[in-house]
Amino acid sequence: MRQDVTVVQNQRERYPGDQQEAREKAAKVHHVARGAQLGVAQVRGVLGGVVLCDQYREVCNGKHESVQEREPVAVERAGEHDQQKSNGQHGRQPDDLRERFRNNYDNDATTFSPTGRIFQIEYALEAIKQGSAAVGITSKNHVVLVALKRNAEELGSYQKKIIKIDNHMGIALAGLAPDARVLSNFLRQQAMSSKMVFNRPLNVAKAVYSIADKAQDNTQSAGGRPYGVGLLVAGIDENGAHLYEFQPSGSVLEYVGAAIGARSQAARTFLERKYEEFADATKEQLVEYALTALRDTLSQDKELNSLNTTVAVVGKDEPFTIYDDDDVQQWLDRLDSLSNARNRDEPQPEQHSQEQTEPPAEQPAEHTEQADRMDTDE
Amino acid sequence: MNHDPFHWGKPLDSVYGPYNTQIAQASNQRPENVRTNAEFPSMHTQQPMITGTSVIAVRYKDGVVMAADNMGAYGSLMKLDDVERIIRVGSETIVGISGDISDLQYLERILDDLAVEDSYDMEQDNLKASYVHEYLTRVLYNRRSKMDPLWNACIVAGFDEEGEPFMKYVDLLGVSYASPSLATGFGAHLAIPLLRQKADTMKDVEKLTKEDAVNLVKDCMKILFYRDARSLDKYTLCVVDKTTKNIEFHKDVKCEDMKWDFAKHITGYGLPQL
Amino acid sequence: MMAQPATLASEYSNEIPLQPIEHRFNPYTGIAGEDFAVLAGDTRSTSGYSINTRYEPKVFDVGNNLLLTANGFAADSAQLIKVFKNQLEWYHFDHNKPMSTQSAARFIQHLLYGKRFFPYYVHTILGGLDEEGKGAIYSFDPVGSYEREQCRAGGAAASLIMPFLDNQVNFKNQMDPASDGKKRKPLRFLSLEEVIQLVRDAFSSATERHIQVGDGLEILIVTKDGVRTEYYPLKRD
Repeated sequence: MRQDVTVVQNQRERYPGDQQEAREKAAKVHHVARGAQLGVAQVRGVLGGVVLCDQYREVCNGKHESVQEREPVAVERAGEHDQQKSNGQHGRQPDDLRERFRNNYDNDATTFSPTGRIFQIEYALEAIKQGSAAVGITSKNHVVLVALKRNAEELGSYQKKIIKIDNHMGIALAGLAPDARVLSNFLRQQAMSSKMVFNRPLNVAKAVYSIADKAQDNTQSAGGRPYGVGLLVAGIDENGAHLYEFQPSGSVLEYVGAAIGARSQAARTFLERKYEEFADATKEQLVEYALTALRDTLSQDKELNSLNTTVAVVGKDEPFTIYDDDDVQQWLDRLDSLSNARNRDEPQPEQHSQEQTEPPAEQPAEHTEQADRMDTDE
Repeated sequence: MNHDPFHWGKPLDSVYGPYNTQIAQASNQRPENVRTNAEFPSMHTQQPMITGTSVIAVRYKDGVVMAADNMGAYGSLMKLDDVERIIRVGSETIVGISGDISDLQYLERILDDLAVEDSYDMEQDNLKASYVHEYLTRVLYNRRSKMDPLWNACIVAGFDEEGEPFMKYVDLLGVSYASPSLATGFGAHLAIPLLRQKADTMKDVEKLTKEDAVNLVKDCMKILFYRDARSLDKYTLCVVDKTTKNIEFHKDVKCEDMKWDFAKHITGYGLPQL
Repeated sequence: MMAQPATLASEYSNEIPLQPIEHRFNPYTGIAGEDFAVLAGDTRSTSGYSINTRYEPKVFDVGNNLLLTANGFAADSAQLIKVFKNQLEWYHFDHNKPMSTQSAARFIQHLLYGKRFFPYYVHTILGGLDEEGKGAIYSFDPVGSYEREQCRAGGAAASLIMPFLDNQVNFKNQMDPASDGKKRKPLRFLSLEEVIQLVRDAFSSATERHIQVGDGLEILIVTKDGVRTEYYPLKRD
């Protein structure tokens, strides 16, 4: 294994004049890191934020006395190269490292960095990106959630990505599933008590702000950590159909279409293209849009199938219903193809001309690619 | 006599010595604040003090008519003659309350808190009458389960989730029910038979116009004033109407066209006491 | 038995302590058949001699093909059914399956016994289908003792209806005519039509003899296909 350690840190305050140098070094470090043939996930940059930092801290805390034993490590904040003071020397002594490159601003969620950021929150947001994708869309009368379930290994079960809260509400998650379980339990209690005390289905905005407040508490108290999960909260209430995105920072926004999790940008791109059609879409069309968006998040060798796809629908006169396994096939059948559009176009131009009755849904995805092993959904 | 109500019924200190509040750690304080010699033992409501009499309400085809007079009686004394016993909660609900006036005012406060709390939500007009009724039922049932009831019987009226007229009863025990005609207290005996002549079933209600319903309720208030010694001829009348999506409040309505000629024949009223 | 009307002034008695319950013993009947169960109750609600309302449903379809009624003090009854419904939802969240009738019965025992020293003042009946699809009726006392039965009448006219059911459902005191009064009439399951007719007869008779019974009869029927409700008017006097 390679025996070098590469660290990029935000140290502008310590070396105020060194920005140009920092930029150069950052570039160099980046290069070195690539040259070091790091794992795919690590090279993907931002994706590795949390894990890499933890490895770095272990080094700094002296858990590993000899840096030589470590794999190459890179800490990198995307888009902040200009603020960073870098040092790419190989084979530094741990004492030295500890002194010079410790990030003083990510020890807890209550400390701002001098640039006005709270790193722990940003790391929490990174955790969402490591979870598999979830997509939600609203029309006037329906909300649809779809999500991609991973299974850690062939022998294991698939994760649970969509959780029912009440007859009129449910959530889809990306990130730390146990955190989502705690939040969903809280939401269920809120919904139940609203029914008990007022005979009133819990208002969706009220529900999502109640967990947002909990999340915000964690960003202002030491000793805890922010939630490591993002949620899409779908529900119907007296004001109609709603879709909210919840983030560990405590921020909440309402959407007509939203996507979270790994490669969700691809889904968002699709949603942005189509969103004008959502409002008047039927329930079936809505699921089609959502699945198409979800399909776009797939990596090269994957496709949607009844094992890895989960669909949930809630409507004005329709209780929140989750479709899994065999029940989801009816929705998959509505798509022309189940694999990622970009990847589909390249290898199959001839097949397109030959026959269109290619059923691509057959075999379950067998290869679990290394990149997704970073999954914190478990 | 000691005119402090708290001393009613207690043995005279001069005769029996001071009341021993140490018995069973008696205190009306929360346990954490118990002083060694609390002045009074822990007390629960065992009877109403100043009371309001009947509330009556009836459904008609587009809504609800409700009335309650403005008197607060202290035993047989007319202690208060201008109490408002029908209260608004939010923009879609009214609650008519009979029974203890101090408990009425407590309910008024917590229902107002509820409306304020609800107005913090982003949307408007969320507090439907059905929600208020359920909440009130919870409050009253929980208090009776502590054996410390709020001594009231209430009728909640307004609009439900669908914007339809809503009318339901709930009392100090947490018992609740709905019916085309409702009345609390004396009204349950005097007014209900009259109301049921016109509004016994929902079929009757479909035929009952607003004008007829208002006149019916006014008649009942008159009968109640004739026969219920703790009632007043000045009352508030409310109309919940779904066609206008409005709740009308008519205050200081008087009982009209009353005949008291017979009174002069009654001993002690018109005739001198024997 | 009736609580003091809330509006009576206090001068009439020195002290009226709170009577925390108000009886509302409306009759209800549960009968189990071979592949169905029915639970029926009248719809009148009374306090003392007053009729509060002519239509207040008292038998509830609580989900999972279960019928539940709790008769006695109305507010306790409403509370018990509400708590049961909510806990049933948590059961679904936790176990992801419907609750069986026997589990529901055991659970109701715990709800009732949990308030052993300040009981829900109700007599409870649960109706549903058992594991084999046969009709099941469970009846409970206010503190949770329960047993499964073929039929049960409770509430106001229980003493009028129960002997009738003993005779007509369990064929008590009925002999095989051919045996010269020596052999008992063999037991058999009644058909749904027979049961509904039986319930209607029981309630119209109870209406004649008991002042708290009347206005309407609501019969809930549970079969493997779900729950359906039938309503028959009773005398409104």
